[in-house]
Amino acid sequence: MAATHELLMEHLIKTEPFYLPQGDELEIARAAYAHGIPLLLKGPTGCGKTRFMHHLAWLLKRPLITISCHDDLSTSDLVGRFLIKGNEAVWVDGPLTMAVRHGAICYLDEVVEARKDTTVVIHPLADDRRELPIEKLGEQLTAPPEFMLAISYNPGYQSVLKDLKPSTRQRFVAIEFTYPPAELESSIVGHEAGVVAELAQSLVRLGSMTRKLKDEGLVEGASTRLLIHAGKLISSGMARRRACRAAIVEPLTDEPELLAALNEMVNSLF
Amino acid sequence: MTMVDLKERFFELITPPLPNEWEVEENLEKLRPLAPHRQELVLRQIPAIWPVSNSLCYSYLASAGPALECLADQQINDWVSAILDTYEQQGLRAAQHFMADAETNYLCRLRGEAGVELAALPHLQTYAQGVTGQPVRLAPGPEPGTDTETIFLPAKIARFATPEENFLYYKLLLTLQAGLLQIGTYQWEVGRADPLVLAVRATYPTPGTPPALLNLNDFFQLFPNPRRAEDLFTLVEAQRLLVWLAATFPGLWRDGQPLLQQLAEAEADHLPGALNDRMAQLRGLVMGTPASTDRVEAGKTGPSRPAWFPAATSRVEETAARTAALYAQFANSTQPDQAMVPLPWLGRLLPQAAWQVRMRERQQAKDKFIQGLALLLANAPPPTESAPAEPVPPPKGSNDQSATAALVLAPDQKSLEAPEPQTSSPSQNLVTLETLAEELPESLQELGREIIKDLGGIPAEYVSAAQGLAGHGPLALTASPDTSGESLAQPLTYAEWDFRRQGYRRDWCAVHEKILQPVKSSLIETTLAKYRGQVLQLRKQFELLRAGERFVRRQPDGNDFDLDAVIEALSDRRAGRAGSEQLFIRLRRDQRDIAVYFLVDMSSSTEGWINLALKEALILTGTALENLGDRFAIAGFSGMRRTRCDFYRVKDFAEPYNAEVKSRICAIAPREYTRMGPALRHATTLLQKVEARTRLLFVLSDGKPEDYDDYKGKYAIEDTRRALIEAKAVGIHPFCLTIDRQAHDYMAHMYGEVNYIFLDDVRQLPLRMPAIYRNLTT
Ligand SMILES: Nc1ncnc2c1ncn2[C@@H]1O[C@H](COP(=O)(O)OP(=O)(O)OP(=O)(O)O)[C@@H](O)[C@H]1O
Ligand SMILES: [Mg+2]
Repeated sequence: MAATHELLMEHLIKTEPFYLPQGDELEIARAAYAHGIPLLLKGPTGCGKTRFMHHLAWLLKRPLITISCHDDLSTSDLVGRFLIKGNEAVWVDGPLTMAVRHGAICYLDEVVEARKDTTVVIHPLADDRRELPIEKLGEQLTAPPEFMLAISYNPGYQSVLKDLKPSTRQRFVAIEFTYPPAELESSIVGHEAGVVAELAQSLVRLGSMTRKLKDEGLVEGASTRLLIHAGKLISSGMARRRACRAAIVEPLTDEPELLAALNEMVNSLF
Repeated sequence: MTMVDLKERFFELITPPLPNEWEVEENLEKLRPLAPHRQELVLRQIPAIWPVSNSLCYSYLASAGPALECLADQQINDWVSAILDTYEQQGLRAAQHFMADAETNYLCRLRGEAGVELAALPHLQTYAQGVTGQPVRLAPGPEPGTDTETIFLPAKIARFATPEENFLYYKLLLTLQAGLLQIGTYQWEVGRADPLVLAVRATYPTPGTPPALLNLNDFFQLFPNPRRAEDLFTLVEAQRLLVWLAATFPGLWRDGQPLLQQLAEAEADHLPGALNDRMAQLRGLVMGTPASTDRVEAGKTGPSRPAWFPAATSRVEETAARTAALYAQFANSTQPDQAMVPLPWLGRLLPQAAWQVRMRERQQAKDKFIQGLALLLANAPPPTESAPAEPVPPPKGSNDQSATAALVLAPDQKSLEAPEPQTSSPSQNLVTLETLAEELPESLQELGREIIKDLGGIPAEYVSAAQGLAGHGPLALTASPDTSGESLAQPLTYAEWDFRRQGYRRDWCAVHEKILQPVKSSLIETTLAKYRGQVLQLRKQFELLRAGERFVRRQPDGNDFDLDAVIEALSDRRAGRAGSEQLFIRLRRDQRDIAVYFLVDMSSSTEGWINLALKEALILTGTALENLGDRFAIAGFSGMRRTRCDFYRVKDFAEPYNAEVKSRICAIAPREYTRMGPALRHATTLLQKVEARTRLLFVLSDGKPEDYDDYKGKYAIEDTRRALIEAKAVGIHPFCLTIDRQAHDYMAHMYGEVNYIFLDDVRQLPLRMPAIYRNLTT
């Protein structure tokens, strides 16, 4: 028990993660936390969902356990399983169980990537029962008030298949993330990449230009994350156009016409 | 040189018979604006031309002035030889034509391939969309300009020496026009009671009253010489535009400098049109002609900047005020004043066209909003809601224009409004979205926000119109029909992309689903026999791809105990040795999860070999896929006109690949035309309903898409391309296999470079197709 406690303390965030709120998301999250309601974060890739969770965990002074979902994730991966240690079978808590027992925040990132039969285990935990059944132990854990469940997903791609079931989504308070408004995004890029305001603004301008090309075949434009990458390359000495090409244009598409157009945008801006 | 000098020099250079003096004078007149050394250069060619033809010589004198605008001094000799060549080979008319446009007829040829054509730059469209952030259309026009919906650019640019520079110039022209949209030049409207308008009207009194709200064009009309006001405004606004460009697109600004400089220098040599001093000075300032201020300083107060032009303006209101101030100063000038030749990189502003677009958009938004709101109100339960229940009476007795004008004003702009007897305070006539209804659907909210952005609020008239419409019994309102239905009886409609207006034609095509009637045929057997050897091979190859769920043993964790391992470990321990801890079985899923839709061209052009090869290919692929277990569906398409796009379902996903399906494959036969768009869109809709990790839309066709009506050429190509992009946007991978005698340039554009394969030998198709499929899905 002491060991798990220690392990958990490693997930405690001690220094304040840099986070600039886009709106009232922190208030909503705190209110939800106070009432034991789980959180659903939706928004495009790289727009600050993970960073928000880090900041929230720091604010609430709770350890944060993040689980990246994928389609091989099984219920036992979340809840726990018996392992044989020496001569006996020993139960080992999964991350979700660990979070529930110790009142941590459990964040399931990209939850739509998990198989649907896996996602159902969070159902009783996500409504007002706040219970986690551990079948193999015949145990029913009730979450303490400190525990919080949060999930995230990106509604942008893979529409029909990668959608959350209504029975899942209707258990959550949802916060929608979008790319922050230009000024805010510039401060974020400036801070994270360590570049001057003028450069950060140009990067953000490029970002917003790429986000308007849905009709031209670009499903998702450049994320804040990509802009930060470009800024970092530039601040370590790479030429601006080159850095934007490597960090923004190329990761976005392979389509030759789109590439050409994006490169021209880079040339105009830098 | 004076006219007397010019004439004297001319007569020195020619041989008898001597012409009439008045004839000479008329032709020499055109040389007068040129600098003396350039006059001399032109005159020096006369001895070579006069003896050949006097008429040719006169035409030469008339064309030399404009030609020199784009010719360098040392090019004149060559140009004259080219004129003489043309004259000797093709006569006077041809030579005159040749001279008339030195730019395209002589320089372009000299430069070889340096010219760049708009039509060859599809990515400029994407670029424009990114820069303006709104759908804009690019279209060829005589000079650059925009009506805010379309940006006009020259069809071809060959002004500069290299293709790179010419392309860059396209980008520069486009970005500047996009800039006009960004900096709000065409958004400007001013109330008739605005101090600026009052001041201008006081200075230049005219009868009549201007409209309550003046657009840019109305503003120019306040001045005695509207064209001069326009020119001044254009110059001042151009300066602001350059400042915007330098700040927003520093890269383009930097790259574009050499081009702007070349243009400025050309202008220094030959000032287009006669402008008064001040105007010429202002133009020089904006163009950056060598003598004037450095334009990079545009935003600052440079030392050489004249006192009457301290710095670039920063808002369009300021530009207008500056225009009025400059106009007043210039009015004192006694020099003649002509309309200015448009700035080469900006062209003339098109305020009237922009205004018309704006009015049209306003009307469309109004119609759509009223319809949408009416639909909502009609379906809502009878008025229990509180806020919007009170009907707002339409402003009575007001004609359309003044009503609109009154409504245009945001509440805080009331001061702009001159007292209008027939309308009440404008703020009362505007409704906010909140007062309208709590729960407006998102589409309507968005429309509402657009209207508010344009008008400052939602005119009450819109709401009352919607209430009126909603009250009128059964609604004649049609929402876009639901395209998800699957019935075979009801045709489904799809939108079609019209590249000319860069927009969709809604519900344009009707897709009729049909089932192909099976035919009895020995084709299946003969095909399988013909490719007997290959079929066996295909089976093997495809079996290798097939990997379902499998259990992996002896894992550190898993879904179940691995009994063998457990027993072994226990016995190990009993034996006093450390047993393994890898005691579990785990189910690993690396199963293929692919659904593919094969869409087959059934147009009349496939008649013969192609049709046979298509069927053979489907039979072999079907056999291979049956082995592999990938889910697949097949449909054929053909049709005539947008009202009948036939979609023949051959095999659905759920259907097994059985005898019935096989005999439907045999029934695939050439029919009518190839309208690709609707078929692609319909297949996309069907494919979207299938749960699969990877969804593939595999199109088999021959040649270009084409229908009986105007679905041909670029229109058809662009719509097909669009339909493929739409499929991609919903996560479907389209792939096209096209059979044609030769590859065409349009293919890469239409299908996307990596998404198609072109086959020129139809006999290869049956075996290539399964191979391509295998490559695509591994
Ligand atoms: N509001 C913000 N304040 C501070 N940093 C931010 C903010 N938004 C985004 N960032 C920065 O953007 C980066 C990407 O954000 P993050 O990793 O949180 O994205 P995400 O939404 O979780 O993306 P994904 O869905 O791909 O996981 C962060 O590392 C952070 O640097
Ligand atoms: Mg994340």
